[in-house]
Amino acid sequence: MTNPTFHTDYEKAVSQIPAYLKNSLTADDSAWMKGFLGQLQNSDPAKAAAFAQEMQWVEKTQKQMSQALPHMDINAGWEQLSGQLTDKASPEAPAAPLAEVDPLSIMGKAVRWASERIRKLMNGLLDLWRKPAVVVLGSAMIVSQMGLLAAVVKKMYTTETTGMAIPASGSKSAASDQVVMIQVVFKDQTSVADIRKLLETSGAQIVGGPSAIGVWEVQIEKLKQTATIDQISTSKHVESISLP
Amino acid sequence: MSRMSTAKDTDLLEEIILQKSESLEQLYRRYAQTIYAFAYRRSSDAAIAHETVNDTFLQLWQGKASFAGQSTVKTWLLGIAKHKMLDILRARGKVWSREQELTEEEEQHTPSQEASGYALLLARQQGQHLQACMDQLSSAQTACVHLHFVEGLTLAEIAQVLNIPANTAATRVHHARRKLRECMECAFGKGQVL
Repeated sequence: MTNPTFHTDYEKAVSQIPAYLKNSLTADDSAWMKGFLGQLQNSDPAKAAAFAQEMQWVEKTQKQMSQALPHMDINAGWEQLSGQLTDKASPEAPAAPLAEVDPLSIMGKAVRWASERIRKLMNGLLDLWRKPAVVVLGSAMIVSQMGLLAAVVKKMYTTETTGMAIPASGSKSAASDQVVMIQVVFKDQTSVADIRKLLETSGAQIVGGPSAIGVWEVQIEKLKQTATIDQISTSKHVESISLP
Repeated sequence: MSRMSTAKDTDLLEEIILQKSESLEQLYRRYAQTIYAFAYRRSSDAAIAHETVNDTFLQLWQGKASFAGQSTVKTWLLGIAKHKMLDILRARGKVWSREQELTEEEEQHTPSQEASGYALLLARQQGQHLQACMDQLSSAQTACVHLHFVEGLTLAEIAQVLNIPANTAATRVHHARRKLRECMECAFGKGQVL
């Protein structure tokens, strides 16, 4: 704690009068003050009288100021504070109240009332629409994700494996009793162009593969099953064919 | 007299750290009025003063303030209260401007004799002449005068509470004291002031 600069002891003593009268000086300062007053009385009675007058003025001012002060209701204040302490200690403490507004301000009250009403209204609307909205949104997301996934798989298949166009709807979309699935293993030297040409001419479509051992799944029309299988199996590009 | 009512402030603080609400209550009963009056003097708002008291003691209870023993507990609490009050004022959009915190310009301000004379006449009729004179002071001066006269703080303690240099506190008190004296003498004459 830093003390201000005093040019004279008199100046310092004057500054300490309020604390001296309130008995709030430290023991050292209080002793110094008493010593100074005694010394002043002996050395300069006129100055001592002026100092005494100053003390009277300070004392009177202190009293008037203290009387003019507003007083708070300590008991009510403590009751409120202890309630807050309990609230803070409770794990399920209620939400903090809205910030206090000037009790004299009508606008403040109006704003506070309106804010509260809007908050309640929004909460009510959320409660009303929350569940259906979540269901609708969730369903939409699942459907869209499935569609996207199918498109991605199809795209990967066409570009990374065969390089051949696969009908957008056709292969497996045809009724299962109208198509037959066969498995084909092409020879190592067979190019993608050769495979495309063979399947286009035989009316077959690749729907899967190749697997780790080079097996392709090919879909053919049931009505043309024999002819198609004959055509594929006799092709020079085919190593083996597995019938259903 | 119970042990609690005679316990030292510092002992109470140690017990508050241990979450003894009785100790907090004891300290509250000792200093709530002091903090309330200080906050009211600066804000002129009973609600803000009340909230300042609450927030100050809540901070103590939550252990967010530690007493270093470099001042009295009262001075330390008033320092916390000052910050709490400024927080409250900021939250309410009633921030004191820096100009209001500074005093140099304010020292130059002297209310017109006509205005102060009329105000003093009214105040005299109402028996509130000193309050009228206090109203002539700046916010910064009022805080210093309140702490100095009402709370009996030394200039060094005022500097600590308000976080200002000690010489600034001395200057503010000196000018405020002079203004108060002149104001009261203006109303009642030099001989009537005492």
